[in-house]
Amino acid sequence: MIFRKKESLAALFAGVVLVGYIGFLLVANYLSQVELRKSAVERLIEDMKSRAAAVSYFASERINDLKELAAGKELAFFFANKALGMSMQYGLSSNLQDIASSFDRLISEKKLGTDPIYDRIDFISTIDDLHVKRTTDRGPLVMENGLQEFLFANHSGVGIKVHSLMGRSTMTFSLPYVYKDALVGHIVTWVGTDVIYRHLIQVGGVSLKKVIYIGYEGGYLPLPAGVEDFVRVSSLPPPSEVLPRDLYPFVGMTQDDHRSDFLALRIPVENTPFFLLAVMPHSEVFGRTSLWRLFLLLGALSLVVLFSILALLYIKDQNLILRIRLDESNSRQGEIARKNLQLQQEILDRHAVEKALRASEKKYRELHESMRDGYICTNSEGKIIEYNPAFREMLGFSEEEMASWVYDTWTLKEWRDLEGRIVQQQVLARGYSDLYEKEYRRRDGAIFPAELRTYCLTDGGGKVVGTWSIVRDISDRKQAERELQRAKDAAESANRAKSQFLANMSHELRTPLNHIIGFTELVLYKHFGDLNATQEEYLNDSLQSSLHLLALINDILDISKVEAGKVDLNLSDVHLKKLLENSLNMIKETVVTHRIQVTTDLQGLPEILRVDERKLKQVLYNLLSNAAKFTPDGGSIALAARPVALERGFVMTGDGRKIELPVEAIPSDGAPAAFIEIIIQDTGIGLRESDLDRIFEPFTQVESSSTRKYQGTGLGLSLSKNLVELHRGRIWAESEGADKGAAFHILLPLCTG
Amino acid sequence: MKDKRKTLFSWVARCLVLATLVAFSAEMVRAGDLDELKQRGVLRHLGVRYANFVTGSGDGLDVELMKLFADHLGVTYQYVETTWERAIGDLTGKLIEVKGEDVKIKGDTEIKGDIIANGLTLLAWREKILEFSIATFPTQVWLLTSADSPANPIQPSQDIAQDIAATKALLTDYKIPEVIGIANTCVDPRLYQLEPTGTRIRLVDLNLNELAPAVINGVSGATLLDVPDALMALEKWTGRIKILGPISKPQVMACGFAKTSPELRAAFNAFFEECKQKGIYRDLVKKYYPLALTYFPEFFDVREAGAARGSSKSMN
Repeated sequence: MIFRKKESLAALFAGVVLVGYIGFLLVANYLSQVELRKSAVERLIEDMKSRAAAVSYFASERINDLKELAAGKELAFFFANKALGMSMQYGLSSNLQDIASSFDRLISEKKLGTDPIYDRIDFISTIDDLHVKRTTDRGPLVMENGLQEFLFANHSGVGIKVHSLMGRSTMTFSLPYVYKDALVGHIVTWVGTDVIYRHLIQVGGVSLKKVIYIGYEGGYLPLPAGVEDFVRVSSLPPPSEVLPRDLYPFVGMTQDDHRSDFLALRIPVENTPFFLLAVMPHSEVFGRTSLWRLFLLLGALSLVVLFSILALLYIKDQNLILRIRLDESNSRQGEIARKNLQLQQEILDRHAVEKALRASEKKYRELHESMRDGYICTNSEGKIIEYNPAFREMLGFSEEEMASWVYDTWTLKEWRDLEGRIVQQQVLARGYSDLYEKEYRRRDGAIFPAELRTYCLTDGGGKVVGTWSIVRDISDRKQAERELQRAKDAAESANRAKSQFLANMSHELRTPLNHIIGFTELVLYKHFGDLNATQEEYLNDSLQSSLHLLALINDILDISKVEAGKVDLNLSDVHLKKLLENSLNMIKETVVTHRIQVTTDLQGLPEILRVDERKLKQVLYNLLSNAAKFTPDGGSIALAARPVALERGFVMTGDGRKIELPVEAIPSDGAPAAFIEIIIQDTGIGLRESDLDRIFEPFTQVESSSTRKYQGTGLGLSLSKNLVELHRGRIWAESEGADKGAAFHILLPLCTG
Repeated sequence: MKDKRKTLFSWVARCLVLATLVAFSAEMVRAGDLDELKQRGVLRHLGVRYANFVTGSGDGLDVELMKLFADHLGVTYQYVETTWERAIGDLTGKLIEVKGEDVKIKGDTEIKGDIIANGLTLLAWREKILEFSIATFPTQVWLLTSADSPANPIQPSQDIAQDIAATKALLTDYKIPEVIGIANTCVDPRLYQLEPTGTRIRLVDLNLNELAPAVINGVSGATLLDVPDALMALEKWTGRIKILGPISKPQVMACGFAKTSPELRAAFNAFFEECKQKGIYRDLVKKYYPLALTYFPEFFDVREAGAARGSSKSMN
C-alpha cells in the first residue's frame, strides 16, 4: 500500500512536470510565431517591393521603346516625303511600309521569356486619317473610341492607361509624335498584363499563400486565367483606403461565397499609375496561435494529463494482477515444456530402439527365411508354433498343411522314442542336445535322414513351454558315406584277395627255393666233391641271391598275412630288457665291422611285457639292421626304452607331427594310457621331412641311389609298422634332415590284449 | 502627199526589217534550244548588274531564280556578265541597232548565253528580236527630281493616262530643262515621247542606281527611274529626292529568250508557274523587294494585310 502511494505521488509529480514542460513549449511556440509573423511581414514587403520594382523597370523599358520608335527614321522619312508633296501612290506608301516594318520588328524582338511583350503598336495621325496598326494574334480587340479619348487627353509626355475588355486586360503606353514642332500623331503600344503577371509578379518569392493584384486608382485588373484567385475582386478594398506599405485587414468574400478575414498590402509601382496589392488570408500571416488559444490548450492539456495519470494507476494495478497470473502461467508452461522435452527424448529413444529392433528383426527374419537349415519350433504338446521356409521345403508341405499337423506327424515311429529320450535326458537337462540323427517322412512318403540339435524353449519366467530344433537334411552326406563304405569294402576285399594270392604264391615259391638253397649249400660245402675257385664263387653268389630272394618272399608273405588278416599275435610274457639287449646281437657283426658305437638306455623298464616275442624281435631286427646299414663307419646307434603315460589321444613328434594313438589303447574312463616307448637312434644318413611317413609304405626306400647302395627289399618298415599296429602300438620316424641321423619310435601298450 | 510617202517608206522599211529578222530567225533555229542546252549541261545566264535583280555580289532575285531553273533542268548554272548594250547580241548572236521601237540588225556576234534575266522590262522593240517569258516582275517608270525642285508631285487620279500627262506637264510647267536616262533600257527617255514637253533628253553612261545621286548632285534636273530602283532610292536618299509622277503605264519585267529557243522558254514558263504556285518566287521577292509585295499586291497575289495603294491611308 505504501508502495502504491509512492508510485501515485511520483506519477502525479511527473504529470505536473509534463504539463509544465508542454506549457513552456506552447509559450515558446507562441513567442516564436510572433517573431515569425513579424519577419514574414517584413519579407513580404521586401518581396512585393522587388516585384513592384520589376514592373516599374518594365514600364520604363516600354517608354524607352516608344521613344526609340519616335526617334526612328521611318516616321521622319514619311513626314519628310509627305512634306515634299509626294503622293501615297507614287512613293509615300513605301515609307508607310517602313513604319509598319519598324513596328513589326519591335513586336517580334521584344519578349519576356518566349512571350512577346507587345500585343499591338499603333501610329495614329492627328492631322489626317492616317492610322498604322500592327498586331499579333493576341492583340486586343479594337477599342478605338476609348483610345481616342485617352490620346486626346494626353498631348504631352508619356501616357499609361489600363484597358480591360472581355476579360483580357492590357497596359497602353502612348507617346505624342511631333514633326517639325507640330504634333502629327501618337505612337501607342499595347502590353498584355498576363505577360507582366506571369513573368514579373507570379514568380518565386515569399512562400506565403497570397494573390497579387495590379491596381490603379480606378480599381483592379482581373487576374489572368490560371492564377489561383481565392478572394473576389469585387470584395477587395477600395484602392484609396489601402495605404502603401501597411497591412490592411479586411473581410472579403472568397470565391466560394464565404466571408473570411484577409490582409492586404499595397506597394506602388514607381513611375506608373499602378500599384501591386498582395492579398492573403489573415491566418497566413498571423498564424492560428493566440493568447486565448494558448490558455485553452494549457487547460485541456492539464485535464488530459490528470486523466492519463489516473488511467495509468488503474492500468498499473491491472497489470500487476496480470503479471502474477502471467508468471504462474509461465511456470506451468516451463513445467510442461520440460515434460514435453522428456517426452520428446523418450520418443526419440523409443524410435531408436524400435529402429534397432526393426533392424535386428529384419536381420533375424532374413536369417530365418534365408538359412538352408530347417528351423522348427513346437510347444509342449508338440504343436507347431513356428518354422522357416527351409524346413517346410524339406518336408514338401504347404503352409496350410503345416498349420494342421503336429510335429510327430513327420517323424517315423522308430525315432520317436529316441528323440523323446534325447529331449528328456539332454534338452530338458541342460537346455540343448548333442547333434543327433533321425529320419523324417516327406509329404510324398519318401524318407530322408536329418541331423539336428534341439534346444529348450522357455518363457520369461524360465518355464519350459516347448522346444525348437535346427534340422539339416543329410541325405547327400549319407549317400556319400554309403558309397565310401562300399568303396572301402571293395578295396579291402580286393586287398585280402591279393594278400591271399601272395601268401599262396609265397608258399609255392618258397618250397622250390628251399630246395635250391639246400642243394646249393650241399654242393658249396663240398658234400659232392671239391670245387674250383670259380665254381665256388658262382655257387656262393647263387646261394646269396637265393637267400635274399627267400628273405624277400618271407617278408611279402608276412605282409600279406598281416593284410589278409591271417596273422594272429602269439602273446606271451617277455622279459623286455633282455629281449632288447639280445636284439643288439643281431647287428653285432655289422657294428664291429664298421666301428659303430652302440649305446643303450634301458632303465626303469617294467620287467615283463606281454607281446608276441618273435614279431617284436622281427621289428627290432628291422629297425636295428636299418640303423646299422645306414650309419656310416664310426657312427653310433643308441637303443633306449622307457615307460610313458599319455593323457591325450595323440603324441606330438619332435618335428611337430601328430601321431594319433589307437582308440583301443586309451582308457574309456579318461585315465592316462601306459605305454613303453622304444627308441632306436642313429647318426646315419637321416631322412627328409617328406619321407618320414612315406618310408613306412611297402617297397619304399628314400632314393633309388639308396637302393643301389644299401641292400634291402623295401618291405621291412612296412612289415614293422603292421606288426606294431597289431600290438595296438604306433611306430614313427623323426629326423632333423638328411645326414643328421634318424630316430625310430615304437609305442607299445603296456597291457596289450 | 509627203506624209503619205513617208508612211509608205516607213511601212516598206518595217517589212524589210521583219523579213530580215525572219530570215535570221530561220538560221538561228539550229542553235540554242533545250536539247542542246541539256546536251551541253550548262545554263548560261546573261545578266547585267541591276538593282536587286543582279546585285553583282553573286546573288539577286534573278540570279537565284536562274539557279533554281538550272537545278530544275538538271544542268550546271553559269553566270555570264554582260551589258545592256551587248545583252541581246550575246543572246541572239546578232548585233542590233535600236531606233525608237525599230530594231536593225547590223551583224553577227558570238552567242554567249541562253537567257537574259536581270529585270528586263518587256518593251515593244525588244519583242521584235526576243521572246519573253511570262511576266516575272511589275514595274513602272517614274519621273524623279531633287527635293529642292520647284515642281510638286502630282495628285494621283484614277486614270493612269491622266497621271502620265500631268507628270509630263510638270516638265513643261516648271521648265525642267533636261531629263537623263540610260539608252536601251526601260529608263531610256526616248521611249516615252518626252520631246513635246520641251525638255531635253540626255542619255548618260551611268548605272541605274547612279541616276538618283546624279539628280541630287545637280547633274540634271530630272531623271527616269523604274519602280524597283525608285523605291531603293527613296529609302536611300529620303528627303533629298522626290517622285513627281509616272511617265509610263505599268510595265512588266520578264526573262528574254532567243527566238530559236521556244522549248527552253516553254520549260521556263512551266517552271516559273510552279515556283509561283509553291510560294518559292514570292519568298524570293520578299527577300529582295519587300516593298514590291505591298506596292503590287495583285501581281504577287498578296492576300495578307500590307501597304495599300491608291487613296487609302490606312495600314493594317
